[in-house]
Amino acid sequence: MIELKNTTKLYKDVIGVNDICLNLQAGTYGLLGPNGSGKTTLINLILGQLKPTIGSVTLFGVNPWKKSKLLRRIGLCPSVEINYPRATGLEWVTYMVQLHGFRFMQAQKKAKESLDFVGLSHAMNRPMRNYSLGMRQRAKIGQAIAHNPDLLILDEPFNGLDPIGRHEMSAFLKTWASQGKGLILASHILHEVEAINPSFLLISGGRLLASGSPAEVRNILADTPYELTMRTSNPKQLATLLIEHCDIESLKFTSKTEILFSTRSASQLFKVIPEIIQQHKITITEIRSTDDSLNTLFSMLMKLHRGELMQRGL
Amino acid sequence: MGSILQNAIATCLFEIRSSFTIQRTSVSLVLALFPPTMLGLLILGARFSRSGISSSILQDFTPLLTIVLIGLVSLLSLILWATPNVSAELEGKSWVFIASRPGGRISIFFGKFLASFSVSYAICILSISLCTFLIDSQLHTGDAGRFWLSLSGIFFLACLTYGGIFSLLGVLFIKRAMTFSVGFVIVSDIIMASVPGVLMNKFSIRYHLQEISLTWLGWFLPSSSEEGYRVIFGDGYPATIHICILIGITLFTLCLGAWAIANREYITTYEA
Repeated sequence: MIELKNTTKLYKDVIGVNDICLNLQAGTYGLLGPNGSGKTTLINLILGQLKPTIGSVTLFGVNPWKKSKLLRRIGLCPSVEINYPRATGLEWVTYMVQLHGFRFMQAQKKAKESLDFVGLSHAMNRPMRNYSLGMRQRAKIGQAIAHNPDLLILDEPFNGLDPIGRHEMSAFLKTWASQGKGLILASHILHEVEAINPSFLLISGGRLLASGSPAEVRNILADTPYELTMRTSNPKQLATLLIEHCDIESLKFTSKTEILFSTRSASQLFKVIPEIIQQHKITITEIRSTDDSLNTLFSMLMKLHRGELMQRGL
Repeated sequence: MGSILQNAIATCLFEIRSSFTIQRTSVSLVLALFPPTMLGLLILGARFSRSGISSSILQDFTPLLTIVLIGLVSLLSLILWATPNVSAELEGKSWVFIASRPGGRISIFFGKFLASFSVSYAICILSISLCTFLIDSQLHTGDAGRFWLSLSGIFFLACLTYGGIFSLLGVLFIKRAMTFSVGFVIVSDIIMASVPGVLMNKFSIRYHLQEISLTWLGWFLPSSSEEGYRVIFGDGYPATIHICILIGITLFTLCLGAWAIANREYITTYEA
């Protein structure tokens, strides 16, 4: 489906993506990377919106640069906001479908179907300035799938969605993936992508650091130090119990009620916490991750890449 | 080709529909009303003048003044509508939605050209109609129909040609398109067009529009200046040749613009 051979993209003296080699068959892929890691540049190279400075890109066996007809087979839901406040959802999606070469009536029919599919038919005749963030996100998905593409590319589709919206988005993406169509999901939040169960492409600093199945990525994460802050009524007792039962690397009392833990086995920690609460009647009012697990993973992958760490996961 | 035209019309309609805000409509109305207001004030000023300006002097100057004022207004409207064809999409972050569709880039180019032409020409027509009514009712020139038709034809060609040029400049110079457009008008249609007796002035758009105006309206410039005019501009060609040249320039700029927009990398702000 997509092949990149030693692809590098430079914006003058800034590297967008650096020497990426990929060969993706049809399937579901999670493109993961911190903000500014080169995900959008990679997507634009795949779409033929950017020309690689070095190397080549092939999409469905064809060089996508200047082959705009290829875009008929792709649905793109970018991360940027829709900026047509006066247009209604139906008008905008119809116009977007028209640009795929459909006549107005045909385009409007497809737009209505896709807006219905994303659950926006009740609001499709309202100006988009009155839409909530979730509704605008749905409209963006609607325009991406209305022409029934073979490959759907979504850039940060969970941005700004509330928990219900996130759940619905996950359900939609699972349905799409189950149809056997191509799906590339770019995000900087691991667990959101993980829910779709894709193969992962991990990108940082414009480089493809790793790729593989969820199990392989989990394997790398298992060795990644994980930081967690807990708010409790009895921090000293909780700290003692956690040190007894878990492999805690370090801990720090950040306030009278807060403790910061660092562990290499987050799964063990999450297993032990409910048991401690139950047995010792300790009240824990808040648990939050102080570092984005993905950022930690990427910093570790970067170290692996530079040879600063021994490679174990991959 | 049919698909490009179909998409361009869709883009034009969407563009006009979605950008017709109160502010934009007000700006368009102010532009359309500016020439008749100025003309009305001139006529009113002459009426109440102590030195007694005769209506024949007014009849001599009003056609020229009408053309200059509507010309300014049409240029301003075209610069406002045609030049931000790519920059508005890039800044509004809607470019990525359009560029990810087959022919989306070309559609936005032609569609926005059509929109800028339609709006600017509509402003011109409203302005021409009001000016013609004012001149005919106040100065009793007697050939209002011919005057209206001639000006409508001249400004149709003007909007088409300048619209094409400004659209091309919008594609080539994204960040400074308006500055380049104003620069083009100053260099080409004020400086170059005024160089006397050489071939250079024939390369300006103004020269061709002037010659067409002279053919269709007859001698509309102040009578004393006819000899001087021919010294500067030489003898003209038949109007059809000038029309063909203007249409040729439009086609050339549109083709070049379409080629450039389809083959150029546009870096979106969230990417850079």
